[in-house]
Amino acid sequence: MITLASMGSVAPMTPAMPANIQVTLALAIILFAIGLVGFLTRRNMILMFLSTELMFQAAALAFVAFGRMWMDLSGQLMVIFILTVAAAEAALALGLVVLLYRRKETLSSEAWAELKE
Amino acid sequence: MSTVAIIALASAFVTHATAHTPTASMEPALLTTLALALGDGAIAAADGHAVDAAHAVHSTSGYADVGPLHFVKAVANTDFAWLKWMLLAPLVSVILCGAMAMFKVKGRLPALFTVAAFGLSTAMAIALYFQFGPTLFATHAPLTVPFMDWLSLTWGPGPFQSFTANLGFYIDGISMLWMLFVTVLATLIALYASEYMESDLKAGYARFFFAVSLFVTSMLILVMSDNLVGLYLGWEGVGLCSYMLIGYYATQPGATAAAKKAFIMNRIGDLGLALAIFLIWTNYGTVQYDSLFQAIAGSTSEAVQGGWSKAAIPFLLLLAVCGKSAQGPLFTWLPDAMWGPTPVSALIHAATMVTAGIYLLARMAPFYTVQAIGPEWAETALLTVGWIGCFTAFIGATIACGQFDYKRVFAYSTISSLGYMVMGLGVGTAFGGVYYVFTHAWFKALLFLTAGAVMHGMAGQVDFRKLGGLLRVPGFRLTMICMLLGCLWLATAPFSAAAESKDIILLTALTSHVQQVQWMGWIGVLTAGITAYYAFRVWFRLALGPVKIEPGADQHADHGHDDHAGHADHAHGGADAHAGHSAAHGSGTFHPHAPGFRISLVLTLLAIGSVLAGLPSYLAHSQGFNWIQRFVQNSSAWMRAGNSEEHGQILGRDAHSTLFIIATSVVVAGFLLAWILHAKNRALGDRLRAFMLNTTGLKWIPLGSEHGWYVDQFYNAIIGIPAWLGAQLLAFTDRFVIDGVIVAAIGRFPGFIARVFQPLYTGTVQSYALTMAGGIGLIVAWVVWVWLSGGAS
Amino acid sequence: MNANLFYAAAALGAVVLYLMMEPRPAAFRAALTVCGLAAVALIISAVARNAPVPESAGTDPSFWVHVMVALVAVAGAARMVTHPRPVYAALYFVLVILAVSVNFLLLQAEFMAFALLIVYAGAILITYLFVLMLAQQSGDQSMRGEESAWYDRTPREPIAALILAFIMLSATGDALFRRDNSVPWLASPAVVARANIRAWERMEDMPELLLRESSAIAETAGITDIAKLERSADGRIISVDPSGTTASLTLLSANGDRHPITLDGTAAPANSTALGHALVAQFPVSLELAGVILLMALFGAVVLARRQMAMAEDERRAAAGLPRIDDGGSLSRGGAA
Repeated sequence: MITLASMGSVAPMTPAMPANIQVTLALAIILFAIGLVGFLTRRNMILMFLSTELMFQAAALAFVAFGRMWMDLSGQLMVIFILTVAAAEAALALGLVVLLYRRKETLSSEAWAELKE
Repeated sequence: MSTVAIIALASAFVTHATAHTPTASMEPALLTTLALALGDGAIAAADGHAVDAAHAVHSTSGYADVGPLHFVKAVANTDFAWLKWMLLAPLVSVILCGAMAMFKVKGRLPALFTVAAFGLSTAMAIALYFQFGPTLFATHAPLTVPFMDWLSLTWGPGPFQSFTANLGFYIDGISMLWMLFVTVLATLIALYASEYMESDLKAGYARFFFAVSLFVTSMLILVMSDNLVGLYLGWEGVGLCSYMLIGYYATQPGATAAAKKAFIMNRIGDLGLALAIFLIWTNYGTVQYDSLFQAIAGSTSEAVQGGWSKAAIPFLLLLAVCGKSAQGPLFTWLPDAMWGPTPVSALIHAATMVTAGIYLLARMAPFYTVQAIGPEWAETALLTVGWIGCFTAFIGATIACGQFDYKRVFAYSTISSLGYMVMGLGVGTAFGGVYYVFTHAWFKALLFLTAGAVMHGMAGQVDFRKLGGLLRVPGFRLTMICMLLGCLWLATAPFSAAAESKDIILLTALTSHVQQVQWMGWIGVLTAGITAYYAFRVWFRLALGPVKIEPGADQHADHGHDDHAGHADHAHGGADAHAGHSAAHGSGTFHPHAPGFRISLVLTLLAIGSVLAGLPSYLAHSQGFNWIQRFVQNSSAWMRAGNSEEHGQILGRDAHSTLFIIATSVVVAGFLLAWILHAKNRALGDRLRAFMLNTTGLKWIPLGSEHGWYVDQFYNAIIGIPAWLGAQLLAFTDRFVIDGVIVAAIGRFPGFIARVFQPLYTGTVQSYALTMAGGIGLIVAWVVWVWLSGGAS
Repeated sequence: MNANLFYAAAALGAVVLYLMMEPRPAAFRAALTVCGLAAVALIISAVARNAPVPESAGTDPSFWVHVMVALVAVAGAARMVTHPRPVYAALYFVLVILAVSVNFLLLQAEFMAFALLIVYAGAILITYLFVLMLAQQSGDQSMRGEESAWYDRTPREPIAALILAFIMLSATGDALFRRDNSVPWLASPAVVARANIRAWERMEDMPELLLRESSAIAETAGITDIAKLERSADGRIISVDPSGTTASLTLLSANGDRHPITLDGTAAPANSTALGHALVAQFPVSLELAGVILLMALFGAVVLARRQMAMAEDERRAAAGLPRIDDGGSLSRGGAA
């Protein structure tokens, strides 16, 4: 009986260990929380956006972890699209930040508080 | 002239004393026969046997207890369906005059329609008398004529489960009498008004006749209706027209205030009437006169049930009478009603509307019997009626003594006379009251119309201190003579129709077995003297003395003067004199405007009528009956019809002659006092008045009399002050509680809420993000810890 | 999950993060780092203590690698949000990306691991660093001799943010770990079977790969003349047995011999191959849309840069006293400068 064991993947697709998935998920929610703190705490506009990128990361990690748990590729596919959107958003956000910086010579987000009027 | 009068009176006294004395020398048999013939022959019961003499004793000596009641059941007869035209003719006039008022038609057409309609009603009333009168006097059965269905409700089979109040006619003695004199007087006064109101031809003429026609329609509904609701309808209608006509000169604030006052005080009376109708229905189950009278006649005094609700009925009716006829506490509206045009005063506030109260008392007389409310309540009710009347008569007379406005003097005299009528019904003689109503209508209308003629000619001058000697002013002689006749009648000069009628009231009062009633009688005698005084005070001041004419402020007079350029003007005595005088207008001399043909005609007719009003009494001996008394005896007030012949004793002597002496004496005394103070020696009168005003103890007499004993001010105080307090309280509440607290709170609330949330709007992105994240956090927390764990973690 | 330990550790981590936000002396910072890492370790132990263990495995060494990667990532993230100098923060973020990438590798998502590195660390972060450096070029008067601007040093409402983070962490942790059997950590045989079947069906589109691999295996077994794969009546190469646990394909020799080959559960194409196939075969529209999104980003960047360019040019000309270029639209009409 000839058996085809694997086709060149690095590791076979076997069921994952639950502990690993749990650690990964714990990491994901911690990173999300830290990203939230960073977004709400930093006054620098660029670092604000960086914190949102951190939150994206956490979400991607969670997707991949769950994909592994269910042994489905859809998790990783979702991460591809998250990556795409994050890239597009970062580009535009940074462009706007630069424009704002040129106006007020400061990266502080509180410089733009008069916009509420 | 005065000595002649005294000799005439003395001779008259002698003849009367000898002729009108059924002394004790007459046999008792003749006495009884007379009683049978005059008093009780008319009260034949349906089964035909004459009522015995015991009944005669009851009817003459009984005060509250008049013995068993026999009401003959009314007979329905559709042959008299043409009676509806009595109502419809004035109603057509209402519609036409209303249309003319709406379309602002100028011209005398409204007056024409009104007089024609009233004349038609008069003709029909007279025809009714001739066609139905004999039947009534023979069978004593009132007539009912159905006219129109109005309220006819049945919601069950039992006696208290239906309500019928249709527009039908109930013709008995007093209805017929009222119909007769109301229509005749209305026609005459409408004719008078057609000339009197001519200054308003361009504005308001049609409106006046609209209101007058509506008034007569309502008054006829009032007297002709066969149930209490119809009476109430007419009652309200005349109140409304009174309001409209008092406030006719709507641009004068005094007139509108007087109209409101009249209406509101009438309303208080209307409350009494309405409550009485409600109580009557709850106790008897019907509001039809016929059924009511049969029900009352059927009950015996021992079996009276119903307690207070039945006993309250006569008192509530008395309240209604006070409101409508200006009695008791509610009399203050009548003097103010003089703001209306004089024909209105004559028609409504002298002859017809104010007599509606007397009509009510006569109609509702069965409710004042022991069969209706028991012996003690009946006596109390009748005594109350009597005292109210007596008190009002006295008060009215005393106030009239102090007035300088001759129209107001006549108004107070009306109040006083109405007091006499009410007193008459209270002391037990409905005949006396109704007869006095009849005669009073004639002479009071005459007095008011003469006053109107004087006002009309003197450009609205109502203060008789500014006029004088009018008897000698050309053109006013007739007016002054008519006024003299009226004043004589008002003062109850001996042998006048008024005296014949008023003396019946005084006779019954003074010969009563009840002590209180006798006191009422003596007060009435005193009032008669005061009446004579103030009546002649007015006439002497107006008619005698040097000619003095100060015109009033009425602009209408000038217009009227020019409008009557072609009029047969006695004041100018000729066309060229007229031209000469009219050329002199610009020089400022005032020419009084003498009354024209129509006014003079009406005054003459009324004077003749006043004289003829005494005919029933003059012819009573030869005819064997008193024409007016026959009406009353064939109505619902028959048990108190009274007997003009059979009376007791006054002061230990024969009643008739004693009363004649007493009454004539007080009248002559009043006349002499007036003659001394106002004709012979006016300076003395003025000095007397000045003396009284300067003496602290006596000052209150002339001042109080002039101001109506400050009753108006008192009412203002007890009503106005609480109203003012209430208004202040409400204003305070409005300003501080509602505006200050509630409105301010509501107004500031959105701002307050906004300020609560304002710190959220900082402008920085992170703070918004914080808020957003906070919200999300809360939601997540709730979802996880509350919802997912099923409410318990 | 041990809930109280979890909450306590989360609270400890929040306190540590709060204390790290202000600039502190180095020793204190070191102590705080230790405490923070301890907090993370406690969280992990609280979470994974009672994880179900499959029957076949013993102690899995990859667990500890996971833990270490988690510690590194959290440390980097914590330092990123608290560092007063922006460039350092960006670099710590790169550290986080690296840690996450390693984690992807552990989770058998090799393509994603390297894609993350290339795109995130290699493109996005580089852009961030460029912008940071651009934006720091002018001497900020608010710096006043400090190393960093005031707005980088002072946090904005840290307590509210930390309370919020604690709530989110606790709630999410609760939702994930506290519900017994709510999340099937251990893949049931049905899940495994479905994953295998999906993988085998994916392989239907890769006949050359199948031929190559199975020929290689067959050669090791001595069969050398493999010509092609046999297709069944409906054109399928791989046939799955009804229970779903095994599949087989049949090789055909040149001389018509049939050699059945069994595919066991682990036979699957490489991650990149499978991912690529899935992208194109299962989600073509999403792929195109992602391209459109990137196109839009390109447009937006060009528009923004254009304005910027015109504005910058304008400012220099104004400083030099020359008339302005930007008159509101001449550039777009190609007007003369």
